[in-house]
Amino acid sequence: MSEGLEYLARGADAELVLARAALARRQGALLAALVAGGPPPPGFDPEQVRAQATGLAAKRRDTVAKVVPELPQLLGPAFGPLFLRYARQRPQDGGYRADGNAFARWALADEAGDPLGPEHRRALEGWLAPAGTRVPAQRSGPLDRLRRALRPQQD
Amino acid sequence: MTTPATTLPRLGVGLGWRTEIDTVVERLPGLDWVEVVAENLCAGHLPESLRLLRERGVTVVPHGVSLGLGGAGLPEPARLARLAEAARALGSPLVTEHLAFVRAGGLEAGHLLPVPRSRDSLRVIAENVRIAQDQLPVPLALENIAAQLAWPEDELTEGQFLAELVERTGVRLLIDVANLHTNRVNLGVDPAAELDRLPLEAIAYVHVAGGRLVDGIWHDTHAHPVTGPVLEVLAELCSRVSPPGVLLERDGNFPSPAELGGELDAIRRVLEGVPQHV
Repeated sequence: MSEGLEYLARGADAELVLARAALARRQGALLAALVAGGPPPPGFDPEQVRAQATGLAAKRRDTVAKVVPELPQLLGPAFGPLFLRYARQRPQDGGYRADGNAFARWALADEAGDPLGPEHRRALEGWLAPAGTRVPAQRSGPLDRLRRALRPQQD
Repeated sequence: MTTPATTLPRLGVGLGWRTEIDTVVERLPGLDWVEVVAENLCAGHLPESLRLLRERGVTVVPHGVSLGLGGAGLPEPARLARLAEAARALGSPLVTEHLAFVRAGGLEAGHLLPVPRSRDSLRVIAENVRIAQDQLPVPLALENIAAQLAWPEDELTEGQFLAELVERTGVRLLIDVANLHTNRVNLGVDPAAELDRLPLEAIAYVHVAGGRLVDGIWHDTHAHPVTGPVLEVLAELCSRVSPPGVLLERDGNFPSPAELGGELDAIRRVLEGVPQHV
């Protein structure tokens, strides 16, 4: 807790500080299980945790599809399952538009196990890179991957 | 017991204002008030539709979803300031949030998650509520949520936990009858028993929303029609107390204005005590 010292300096009682620390640990472990692939924390019903995790990923998918409608338009029925696969691997970090961009970059990256057909790949590349700044599709050496990773995000 | 310092207004029957249905909301006959998701607002640039409604004297209540007062950390001053600004810009009589946590350990849930309802977390959350109340220009009401999981730490029901928060902080309540129905289907929690545990005089208003049953799980979608069982929970609440306001939440798959008006009429009939045929 970054505000911990200031909080203590204001005279908060020690029991409450400990209760906050314990709550932070438990909530952190549950959220890690729900959005970051962590194990269900002790005492929880694993089925309930799984159902909630599925619900959160589906809500994230639906919200990204609403905020960045180009993605489901470009990928069609492939968008949903692919996004859920992405969501299982990558917790959300930022707004939904940024999430949509991160999803597109994930889908194009080598480590995704090449989940895209050539048509979807071209469509996503065209969408991510504004005309005139496109990296040729056939270039995929380490330097090109680095260049892609360093490309400014279009949020 | 902390008694409410001010009387809350009679709000009447309202609808959640959303950009997709802004003109529909403006034209719905007999609409008493609206609620707007606080995070979608910029206090300095209010949507024209909300300005119009305000000019007509329609009450607008900001409804926050990302404050996370049920979290382990202290409420973030910037988020509280934004909620306060929204209330000032709209001249709102109150603001509302949830009994939920939404982030922890650097991760965002993107959704409202239940808190462990233990005595220890009650002390933490009561302090969070007091901090929020200090920073807000108007009363705060907290909403019960739809949960899909239970904490092993739970010592209190959600109703008992909210009752304790009311007693310790004077916070008001926003009771979502669709969430009570959701928890009945998914977690086996009896809505009537939960209503018995709540200090009904602290209710600021009530939420009603539609959803659907898939494989035995109730999904509180806010994108399907309001169903009979949800209106029955509303009737159960109304048999105990006359709520100052009721608001229909619709967030997607928007129906025709006539259909929305029909759902509001069904709510009015419950408030008037007309038996439901469902």
